[in-house]
Amino acid sequence: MSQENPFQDPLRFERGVPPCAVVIFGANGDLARRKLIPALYRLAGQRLLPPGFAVLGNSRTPLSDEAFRDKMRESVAGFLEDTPLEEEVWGVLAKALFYVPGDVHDPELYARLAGKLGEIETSFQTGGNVLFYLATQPSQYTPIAQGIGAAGLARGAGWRRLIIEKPFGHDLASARELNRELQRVFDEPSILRIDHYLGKETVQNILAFRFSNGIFEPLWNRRYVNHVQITAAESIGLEGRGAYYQEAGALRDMIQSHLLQVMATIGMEPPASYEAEAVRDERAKLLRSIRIMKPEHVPHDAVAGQYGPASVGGEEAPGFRQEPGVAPDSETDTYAAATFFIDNWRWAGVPFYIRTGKRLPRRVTDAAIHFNAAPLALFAAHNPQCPSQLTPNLLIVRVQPEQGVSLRFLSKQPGVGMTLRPVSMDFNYGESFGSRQSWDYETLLVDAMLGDSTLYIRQDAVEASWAAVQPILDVWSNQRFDFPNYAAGTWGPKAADEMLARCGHAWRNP
Amino acid sequence: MTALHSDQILEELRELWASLGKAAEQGDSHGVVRACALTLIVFAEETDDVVSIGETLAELMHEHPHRAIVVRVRRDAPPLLEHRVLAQCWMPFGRRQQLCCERIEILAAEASLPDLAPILLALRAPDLPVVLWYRSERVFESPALPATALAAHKIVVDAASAGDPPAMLRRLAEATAAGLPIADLSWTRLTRWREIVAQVFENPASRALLPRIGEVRVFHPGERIPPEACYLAAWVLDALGREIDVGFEAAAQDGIEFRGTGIQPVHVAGCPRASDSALLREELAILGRDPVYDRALRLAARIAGRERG
Repeated sequence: MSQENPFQDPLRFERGVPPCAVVIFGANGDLARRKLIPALYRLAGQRLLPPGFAVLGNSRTPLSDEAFRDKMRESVAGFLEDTPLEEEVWGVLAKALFYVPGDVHDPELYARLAGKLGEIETSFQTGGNVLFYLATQPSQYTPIAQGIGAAGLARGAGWRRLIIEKPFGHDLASARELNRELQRVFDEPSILRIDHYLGKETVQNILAFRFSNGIFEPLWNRRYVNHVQITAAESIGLEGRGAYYQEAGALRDMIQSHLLQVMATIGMEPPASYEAEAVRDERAKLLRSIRIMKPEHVPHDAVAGQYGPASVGGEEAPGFRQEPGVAPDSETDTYAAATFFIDNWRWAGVPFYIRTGKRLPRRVTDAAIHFNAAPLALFAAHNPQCPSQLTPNLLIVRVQPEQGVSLRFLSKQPGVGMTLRPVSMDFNYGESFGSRQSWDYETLLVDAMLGDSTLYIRQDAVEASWAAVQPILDVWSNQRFDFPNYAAGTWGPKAADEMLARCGHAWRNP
Repeated sequence: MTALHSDQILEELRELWASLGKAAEQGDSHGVVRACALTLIVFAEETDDVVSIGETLAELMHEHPHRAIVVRVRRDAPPLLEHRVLAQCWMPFGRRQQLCCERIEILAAEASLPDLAPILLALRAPDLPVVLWYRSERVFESPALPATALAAHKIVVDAASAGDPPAMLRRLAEATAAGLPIADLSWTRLTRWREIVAQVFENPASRALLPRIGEVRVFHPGERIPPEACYLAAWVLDALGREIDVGFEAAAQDGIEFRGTGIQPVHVAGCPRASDSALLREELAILGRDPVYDRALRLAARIAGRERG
């Protein structure tokens, strides 16, 4: 008899999530309340959670199970965004929520967690499967992993996995050190490093777009692509993250993690299969191919910025140094832009411009592939105001707030003559697939319970992305900036425009 | 008889979109977006509940925006073809634009069905999949408008509403064997139930019992064995890959029981019935053939024929 279940029907059945317990450290924190519990609620509503499922929350705040459930209910109701809370669905999930208070540095906590997990294993038939989710400050990753290991919780009757959130270290050396500590307790396949950008539909769709359509991949190389621009702009300021952000900065917070992953997804070679390791191999290979900047090139290829106060839409927006929790002489970058080159056969010589910042004019994340202009400007005489060299074909992958793909090309304007005008062909997720869109955390939590690490970041990719930004961090850490150098509500410092202008390019206005 | 011209209908659709756009500009909305991922052609009797059809289509368009062509057939009437066009719109949460789907309603006398095929071909949204949903068994079987003529990517029927379900299963099996992409909502109704059966056997200890199962008994409400029961038994036989005893028993509630020597019977109760829109939503997500269904249909037709004697 085969070990396979003959009754499975993958075409119709949802992927079967195995019974398990999810232990959330930092369960009373922002991430758990805004993202994790609402995502679990939505999974429960879609019947994607197995009958043998429980959540065990931990934080220092003393709470009973009931008080924890009440708090989580309030969070779910507040953060669902698009639907009202359904009491029936909540009731099912609430019965599976438990709470053990305690300090993660206290060995007794892990003994209590072990006891509670034992009870859950018996009453919920979880088969001993446990997913540890570290929704805490990064400084607590190591003590928690050590506590789990010392209490013998990293091994059991079922599988044991650990999810950590970025930042994975604050530089290359600390990333390696963190990894050493985690791997003392969990082996690499059991460590899931979450980058919620990889859980976004559009980012996953880049793979589908590239590797399931025959028409794009032949153009996806240095012969046809002039350059690539990746933008992640926020219109808001710090929103209470002053203390963290002051230590991190835009380069660490966004480029090292999310945006280099997006770049890797755009630039990677086709994997041999859609298996986790095959995809992760190619992504990591791309990141390892990023040319490491020499210190003397950093001023030329990277720009730091920090926003100053401004009046935006009739309201006074404070500058970064005026934000609560920020030092008045802070040198933190709230804007970062960099030019990366990928030294491989496909991309040699093609600049990848990445920029991110806070208090920019609008919230938008997208990646734009700028194709080369037509070799001959056939209609130039008719279009002095719109030469095709200035309006090349653009393929834009929109990640947020709207998800979709647009293709810009030139078209004849109706009427006499051959006046050209750029037009856009748009695919929008909402229009083609209606309202059905998973949240990134739903996708990633299900994958974690299934043991599918395709959308999680492997350690070699973490190290490669730190290696790519480390020279910039090193130079910036020894530099005094003339901050603030851009006003809130603008597209960043002038130096970022000059960085592209030197190569004959200009930032898009997304 | 009023003549039906596809160009005229398409022109009316264009005018409809122009007027919707204008109305949106004048109102609070920031424009309308025409959403379409497939053409859904619905065949119904004139007496069918048109409001219910409209509600089902409205529920579908959130996940499967479509151009709907609803053909209602009038029995025993002189030739007749009439139409009207309309749009259904909704404002997704957090968006300023309305998303709209278009609908063409055609009232056709049975005698006019042969004239309808070329019109329907012209009205399909170009280059997008076409799904036929037969709510009328009579139209499905009518030689005047064969499903093959419409080059459909999926043909949806409901054997449970057929006058003679075993005969319907046999015809569906023949159609599938002939290459038509058939889907039966009676089968779709089983998905959640089948999923629970599969979950029971996810457990390795339960799976170890499979070779010892010698009989499967399907419980169904009512005297007549419904097509769902035949499908379920057929699916189990196909999954096990061997012949076992199959029995049907009238009962107050749906259920399936696995029996065998030396093992406790494993009983899995049926699930509440899903709405038509939920069933169609599932089918529209799977365009083309479904090999598990095709195999189950073949066996179900055989079982249904045998049970009827």
